[in-house]
This record gives sequence, structure tokens and C-alpha cells, in this order.
Amino acid sequence: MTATPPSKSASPIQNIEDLRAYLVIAMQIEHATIPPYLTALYSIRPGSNSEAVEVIRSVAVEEMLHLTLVCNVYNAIGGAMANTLTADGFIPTYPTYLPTGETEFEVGLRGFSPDTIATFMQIERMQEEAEDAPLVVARQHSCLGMLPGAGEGQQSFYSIGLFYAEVIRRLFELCQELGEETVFCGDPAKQISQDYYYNGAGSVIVVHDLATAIQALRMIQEQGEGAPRGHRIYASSAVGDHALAHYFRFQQLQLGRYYQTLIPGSDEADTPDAPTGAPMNAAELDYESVYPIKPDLRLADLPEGSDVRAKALDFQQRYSAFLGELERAFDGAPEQLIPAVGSMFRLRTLADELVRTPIPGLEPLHAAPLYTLT
Amino acid sequence: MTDRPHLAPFLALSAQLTGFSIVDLEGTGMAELYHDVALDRLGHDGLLALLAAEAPPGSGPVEQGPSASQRLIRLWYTGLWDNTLVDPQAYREGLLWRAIETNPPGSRPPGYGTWALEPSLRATLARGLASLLLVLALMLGWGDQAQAASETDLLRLKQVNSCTGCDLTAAALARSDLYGAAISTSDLSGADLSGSLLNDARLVRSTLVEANLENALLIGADLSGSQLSGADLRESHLTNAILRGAVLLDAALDGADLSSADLRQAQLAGAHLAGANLAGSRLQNADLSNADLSNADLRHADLRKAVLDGARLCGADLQEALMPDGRRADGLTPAC
Repeated sequence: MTATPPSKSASPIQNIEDLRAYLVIAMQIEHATIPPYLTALYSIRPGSNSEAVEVIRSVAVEEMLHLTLVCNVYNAIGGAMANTLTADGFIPTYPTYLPTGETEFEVGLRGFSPDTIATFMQIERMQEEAEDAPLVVARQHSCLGMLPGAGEGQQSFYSIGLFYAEVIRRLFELCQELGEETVFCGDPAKQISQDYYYNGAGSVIVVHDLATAIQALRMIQEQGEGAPRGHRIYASSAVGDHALAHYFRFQQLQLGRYYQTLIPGSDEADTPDAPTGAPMNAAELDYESVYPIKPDLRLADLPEGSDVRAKALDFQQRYSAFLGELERAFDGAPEQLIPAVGSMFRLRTLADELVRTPIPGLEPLHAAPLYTLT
Repeated sequence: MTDRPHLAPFLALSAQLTGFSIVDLEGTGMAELYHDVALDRLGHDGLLALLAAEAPPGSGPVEQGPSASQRLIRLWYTGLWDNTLVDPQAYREGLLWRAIETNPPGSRPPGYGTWALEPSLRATLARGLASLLLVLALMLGWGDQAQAASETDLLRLKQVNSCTGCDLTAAALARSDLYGAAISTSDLSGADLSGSLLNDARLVRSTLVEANLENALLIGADLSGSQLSGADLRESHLTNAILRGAVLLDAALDGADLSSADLRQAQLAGAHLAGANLAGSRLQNADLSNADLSNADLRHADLRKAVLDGARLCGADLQEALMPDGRRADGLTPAC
């Protein structure tokens, strides 16, 4: 009766481990976008580029939500959080390719510039396909058991949205194979709920079955690139206010005009690439009003014994500690998320200090936050 | 009297295909009519090819769709040729009722209390396993894969996740992975898509009349202009789906998640939306007359110019909803 083709993988157990591995990669993807966004954001001089600041800030905050959503799905299917966010290699060495396996563009830690915005649009890009073409290949033609990454025996995904499409399909397949109860065997106490997640970036979804897992993953897809079918520029929202997808938020900076998700006097939203809203304040968009931070800064760039090196090291250590706090919060101590967020805000202050500090010997270049594990 | 030189071979073939004897078939009084229908629909050459058993499955004079023999079986059992009843009498004479030993509902009175009696399968078994399986298939609606959908089309869909303008009527696709599939303008009437994954699928102007989409995942799917009357969409997930101008008369949408869905100009008259999540949905100009919206979540829904005549709204949450007259709802939950 079932039309689901038989799995080609060796065993269902292997499949569920495979799926967990995918979700660990998803954590890496979500996290990998945050340092580039924050570096560009912090590089903007206070009091300037307020529209760009709001665009980048709002996206970065949603990436944090996405990381939380991925961890909820991971915990719901019985994944073990230990040594995920704190694992060697969890933070990539920038510049880097995204862990989707796509090697068309690299992502770095750069100051705010038109090039940086172009890269951010690449991060959030979506697959375009003809009216009668499928969005993804038929299941029996995909590569079960292959993890994302560049090179032989690896799979690559054009967009983050398509990476999640694959996760959703694997999850669906596993539930057919093993039953939903078997797949969603995780400890409900490990879910991060609204009780511990405060901010304005949509709402966190508690995951306990296939439908809620797909809801959570769908939110990540839509907030990034919008809804691919029908080419909508916004993400769905139960409260009726359609939030523009990340790709289009960044594109506004490029096109100098705001999108409208509801054109007055009509029930329509703008179509992709053609915003009709108010122009951005051109006088205000000032790529010069940016601290000249050293791109992809490494510790070795900072002279031994210098104060700026000490400060960068301090940031690095605190960032590592912060990821450890997050990992514990996601591993059954959700109440720890509140102090962890406190640490995050303290990091912000330190990052601001770094971008304002010239590097001795490399003037006029400034320092920047160092996102490496210690 | 019309001369029917092919009636005898027609009956002989029909007996073989249906598992009923020629006498049984003649007893329906439909033999001549069905012969004429087959002649009319298949053409003279088509009928001859069928009688000579030359027609390979799926290659009738009609390019897509069931083979002539499949159509003939369906005709004898249900009185339908391509989903159209050929004659009012054909309904009550369908072999289906004999095969399952019951009377056609609403047509022949079965006798008071007879519904409590256990059916005897003896007669059915005597007709052979093949016909039993056929009946089961018809009853459960999944064996119809061979009955209706073009096998070529079905195969194509499974292989490339795309089949536009295809005949997928009554296709057995329960719990299939059709993520992002391109199936626009296809006929999926009566298809079983229950529990299937159809997120981001493109189903524009498709026909899904009486299709089973219970518990299907259709998040972000584009179903604009589709025919979904009588479809079973209970507990389905349609968040952010596009159902603009879709026809959903009497569709079962109880408990469905339609949050943020685009239902503008949708025809939802008589639809069952009890307990459905319509939060943030766009229902401008939708026809919801006589729809059951009891206990539905309509918070932030846009109902401007929607028709709500006779709709049941008891227990529905209308917080912040925009009502047909353009005003915000007063926030009170309508009483039952």
C-alpha cells in the first residue's frame, strides 16, 4: 500500500544516526552565518547606517532562533548535545564555504560594504526553477547516506533551504520506516520553549513529533529565503504580519528601496527583485562610516603582548565559554539559556571595543572579534 | 432493432474481466447499453482491438489514462466511464453491490434490520480470488492505481518528481515523498495522498476532487485554482499554502492547519473547518457560506468581503480578525 520506495541505506539505525549527523551540520550552518553578520554589524560606526544596522541585526537575531530550533529538533530525535557546539571544527576558520557543501562562494569576517551584502545574499539565496520542474529530485535518485561537504562522496546543496528540504525528507522517510514514536524518542525536558527564549525573532517551536519538527525546519527555510513556490518574499506568520525573508532584506540595501509585503490598496506583496516601497535614505547609507577592520582577523595578526591582543583573547575565551553555556542549556538545562544570553550581551560590548581599536603595526586597520574555540 | 454483431464477444470478454458469468451480466440489463458506450467511446476500431485483446495496458485510443479493459471493468462494477455515470440505472446495477452482497444505498431497499446481518463471502469467493481482490481494491480506493491512473504518468512522477497535465486519477500515493513536486494541471481525482509529504509542491489548477489528503504535509504548496471539492484534508498541514481561487466545496478540513494560507476567492461553501487553524489566513472574497467554522482559530484572519451566510462560527476565535465589513472583530467568541 505504501508508495514510499525502500530505503537504500543499510539499516534504520544507521539512518537515524545519519539524520542526527545532518542536524549537527545544521547547527554548524546556522552558527557559521552569525559571526559574519555580527562582524559586519559591529563594524558600522555608531550613529550611522541605522537602516542597514536594523537589517543586519534583525537577520542575525533570527539566525540565533534557527540554531535554537535545530537543537530542539535534534533533541526531539534523541540527539546528544554533548560535544556539538563545543566540538573542534564547530566554528569554521573564516573565510570558509558554508557546510552545505556548496563551493561557489566563501563567507568571511568583513566590515560592512557592498561586497559583504552581496555575500550575505548568497548565504540566503534560493533555488529558482521552471514552472514545470520539481524543486528537488525524486527520492530514489538522491544520495542516501551522504553527508554534505565538498568532494568525493559528498552531497552539496545549492541553498540552505534545500539542505533543510533534505532533512525534512529524511525525517519523513524515517517516520515511515520506524514510526513517529520511535523517531521522536527525545527527552521533552530538553526542549527550549518560550519560557526561556525571549526576543523579537519569531517564536520558538517545541518539537515532539513530525509535524512540529517540520514546522520548526520550515520556519528556518522561510525566514531565510521566503517561500520558494509562488516566489513569495516573506515568511508566513500566524499573527498576520509578513516578515520579509533575509535574502530580500539584504537586497533592499543593494537596490536602495524597501520591499512592501502588503502594497496599500491591494492584497499583494511586491515581487522578487522589484521593491516598490519607500527609498532607503541614500544620504544615510554610508559605506565610509565603517571601522576599517582587518578582514578575517587571526590571533597571529595581533602583536604579542599588546593590549588589543589581550582583549581579543578575552573575547575568544568568552565566546568559547558562551558556546559551552549554550550547549548545556540545550542539553537539559533550558533555564541556563537566560544567563547565557546575558553573556552574549557582554560579548557585544567587548566586540565594540575591539572594532574601535587600531592594530599596532597594521594601522589604519582595526581589530575585530575572534571567533575561534579555545 | 439495432444490429450488434460484437455483443457476444463483448459479453464473453466482460465475463472474463469481471469474474461474473455471462448470465449474470445479461441479468443486469445493461449489456447492450455498455456495449454501445464502449463502441461510442473507443470507436469501432478501438472496440475491435479490445475484443481481440490487442490493446496493451494504457495504450487505448485515448493517449493517457486507464486502458480500455480497465475502463470496461470499472463500467461493469460501478456504471462509470471516466468518472461519469453512463445511465441512472447503471448505478443500481453495478456489479460492486453484488460482489459485496449489499444493496445500492438509496436505490434498492435492503429490508429493515438486514444491515445487521453478517455478509457471506461464499458467493464472492466462488467468483475467484481475482475478482475479490478487485472489489477490495475498489472499496479501499488504492488498487485504483491500475484502474485509473496512467501507469506511465505515475512512473514518471515517481522517477522525476514531476508530471504536469498528467492522469493520476485514483493513484495510490499514500505516504509518498513528493516534496517540491511539479504536478500542476494534473488530474488527481480520488487519489490517495494521505500522509504524503508535498511541501512546496506545485499543484496549480490541478483536480483533486474526492482526493484523500488526510494528514498530508502541504506547507507552502501552490494549489491555486485547484478543484478540491469533497477532498479529505482533515488534519492536513497547509501553512502558507496558496489556495487562491481553489474550489473546496464540502471539503473536509477539520483540524487542518491553514495558518497564513492564501485562501482569497476560495470557494469553501459547506466546507468542514471545525477546529481548523486559520490564524493569519487571507480569506478575502472567499465564499464560506454554510461552512462549519466552529472552534476554528481565526485570529488575525482577513475576512474582508468574505461570504459568511449560514456559516457556523460558534466557539471560533476571531481576535484581531478583519470582518467582511472591513471592521476588526470585537474579540468576542461567538456563542453556540
